[in-house]
Amino acid sequence: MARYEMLAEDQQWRYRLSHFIKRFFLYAVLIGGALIMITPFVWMLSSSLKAPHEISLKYIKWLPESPQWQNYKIAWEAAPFAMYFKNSFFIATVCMLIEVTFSSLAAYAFAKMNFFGKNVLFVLFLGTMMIPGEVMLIPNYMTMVNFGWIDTYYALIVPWTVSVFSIFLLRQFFMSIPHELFEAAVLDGCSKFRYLLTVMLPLSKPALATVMLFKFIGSWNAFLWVLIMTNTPRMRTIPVGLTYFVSDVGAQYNYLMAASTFAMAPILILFLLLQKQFIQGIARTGLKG
Amino acid sequence: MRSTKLVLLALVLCLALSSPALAKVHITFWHAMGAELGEAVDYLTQKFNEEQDEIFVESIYQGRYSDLNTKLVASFSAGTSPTIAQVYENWTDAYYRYGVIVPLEDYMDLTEEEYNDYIEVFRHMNTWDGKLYTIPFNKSNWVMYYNKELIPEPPKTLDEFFQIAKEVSEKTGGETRGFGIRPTLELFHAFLWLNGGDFFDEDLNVTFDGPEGKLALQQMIAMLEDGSALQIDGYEDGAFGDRMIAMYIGSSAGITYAENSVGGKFEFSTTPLPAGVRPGAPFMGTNIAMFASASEEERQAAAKFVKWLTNTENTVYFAIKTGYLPVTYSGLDHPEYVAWLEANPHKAAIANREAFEFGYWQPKIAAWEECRGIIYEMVTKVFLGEDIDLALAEGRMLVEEAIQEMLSERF
Repeated sequence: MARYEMLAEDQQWRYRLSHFIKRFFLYAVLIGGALIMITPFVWMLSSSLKAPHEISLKYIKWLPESPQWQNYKIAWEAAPFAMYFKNSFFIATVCMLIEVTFSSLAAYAFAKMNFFGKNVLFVLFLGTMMIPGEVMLIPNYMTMVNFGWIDTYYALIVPWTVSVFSIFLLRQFFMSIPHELFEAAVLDGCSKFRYLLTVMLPLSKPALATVMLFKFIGSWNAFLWVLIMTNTPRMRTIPVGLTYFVSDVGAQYNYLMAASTFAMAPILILFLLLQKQFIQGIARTGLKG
Repeated sequence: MRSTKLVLLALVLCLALSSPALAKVHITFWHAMGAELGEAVDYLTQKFNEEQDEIFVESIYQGRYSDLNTKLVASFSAGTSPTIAQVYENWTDAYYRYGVIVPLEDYMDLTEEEYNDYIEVFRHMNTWDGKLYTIPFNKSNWVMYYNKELIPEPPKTLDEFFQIAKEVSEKTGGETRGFGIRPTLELFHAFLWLNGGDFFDEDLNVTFDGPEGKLALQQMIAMLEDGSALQIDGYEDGAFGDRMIAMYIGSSAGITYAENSVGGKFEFSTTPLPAGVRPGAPFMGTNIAMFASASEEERQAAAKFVKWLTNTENTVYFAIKTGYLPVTYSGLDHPEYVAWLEANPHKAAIANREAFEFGYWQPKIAAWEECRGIIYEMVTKVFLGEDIDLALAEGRMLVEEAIQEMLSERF
C-alpha cells in the first residue's frame, strides 16, 4: 500500500485500472470454471424434479414447471436403497480404513527403509497397475468362489484393501519428508514404527486424505465387482440400485437423477470436509486427480 | 425330566420346521428385470412359491442384460450357475456350443397342443436341434410409433412412409421432422428386411452388403438429407414427446416410456412397420434357459416352474403388467388380454396377429454379439459420411472373420 501512496495521481488511477482488469479476468475465468463444474449438478437436480415429459426437450429448460418432489420418494422405493446405503457406507468405510493402514505401512517401507530387492519389488508392484481389471474379473471370481466368499462382505472388502496406486502416492509423499528428521528421531531413540505414527503420518495428512477420498469414492462407485460377487439384495450397494432405472428400451431419467442425487450426497459432503487436504495432497505429490 | 421334555419339544419343532423345507427343491432364476418389470417377476415367483410346496424358486436380479451375460459366463467356469436364467438367442447359441445348457423341452412334458400353443415365431427363435432348448419369456416386437395429431392415417407401405415423413417436415416448416433415425443395428435391420434382404443367408454367408443393404442405408441417409428425418442420439421417446419427430420405430416394450414422454400432450398410436417389397415384424426379447449344472431333481422342478410361468394366465398377467407379449396363442386370445388391448387402442399394433406371420429376428448365432458391434459401427460410419460401398465392404470382411472364428470354434 505504501508503494501505491507514493505514486502520482494519474499513475494511481492507472494502477487501479490495471488491478481491476486483472481481477476482472481472474474472476471471470474462475466463475466460468465454477459454472462449468457446477452445471452438471444443477442439471441433475433440476432433472430430478421434472415430470417425464420435461426431460428431453429441444430447448434447455432449467426449471421444472412444478417440482415433482415425489420423484425422490418413488426413486427411493424403487429399490431397497436403505439397505444399499448401509452396505455402501460399511464397505467404503472399512475398505478405506484398512487400505490407508496397509498403504502407509508399505509406503513407509518403500520410502524410508533399505532392504534387498526394494526397487525390483516396487517396480513389480507398479507393474500390476498395467493389468486391466476386466481381464482379472473371472479368475478373481473363481478365487472368491473357492474361498466361499460369494455373497459375503469378505469378497467386497478384502480384495480391495491393498491399492498399488495408494502405496505409490504415499511413497512419493513420504520421500519428500527430509531424511534428517528420521535420523534425528532415531538418534533420540525413537523406534521406526513410532516415527511413522508420530511424525510421518501427521505430516502427511494431505496425502492420507487424498488416498482416503479416492478409496471411498472408488468403493462407493464400484459396480461390476459388487454385482458379480453378490447374489442377494442384502449384500448389494447403491450403483446396483441405479441400474433399476435403465432398461434396454428406455430410461426413467427423472428417477435416475433423483437417485443419483441422493447417491452422491455423501461423497459431496466427504469432499467438502476433506477439500483442503485433498487439494494440498494433489499439489504436493504432483499428481492430478 | 423338564430337560427331557424340552429336548423332545425342540426335536418336534425342528422336525416340523425342517421337513417341508428339506423336501423342497430350491431353484434359482437369474434375470435382468429392474424396477416395475422386476416386480412382476417377483410377484409371479412368489405366487408360484405359495401355490405349491414342493419347489422354492428364488428370483435374483443380476443387473442389465450385459451384466447378466458376464455373470453367467463367469459362473460356468466357477460352477455357480443358476438353475435357470433369462437369455438372448445368441447367448443360447454360445452356451449350446459350450455344452452348458440342457433343452428345457425334454423336461417339460409338453403335449402337442401345449407345444403348438407357443407362438410359432417364438418357437423358431428357441429351437436348436429340433428342440425347444429355451422357452420364450419376455418377447417384444418393434412397431412404428406415430403422432396421431400430425399423422391421422399411418403409412402402410414404405413409399407412403417416405411420403408422409416428408409432408410432416414440410407442413411444420421443419419444426417437427417426419421420422426419428437413431443409427442402430435394429433400424438398419428393419430397412434391410423390408427391402427384401437380411444379414446372412441360410448357410451363414454374409448378404447384408448386397443391393438391399445398400438401398437401406441410402434410404436412411436420403431421409436425413432432405429433412424428412432427424438424427436422434438417445432414446427416441423423448424427441417424440417433444414433437421433434412424428414417427419412430421402437420396441413395444418401450411404450410406457413413450406414454411418459408424451405426457398427454397429444394423441399417439402404434402401427406395424410399413411394408416394403415384403412386410416384416421384428421380434426381440429374451427366453429362459436351463443349465446343465442343475441336478435331475432341480431340472424337473425348474421345468415345472417355466411351464407354469408361461401358462395362459401368467403370460397374460406378465404381458399386461409389462407391455411384453403373451408367448402363447391362448394368451393372445385370452379375453382379459383382448379387453386390455381394446381399452388401450394405441397398443393394438404390438399384438397385431398378422405380424406374427411375417416375423423376423436377429441371427441366433454365438458370434452375433461381435457381429452386432461391427455392423453398428458400420452404420455409424455411414452416418458420419463414409462411402456406403466402402463401409459395406469393410463390414462384410470383419463379420466374415467373426463367423469363421465361430465356426472354427475359437470364439
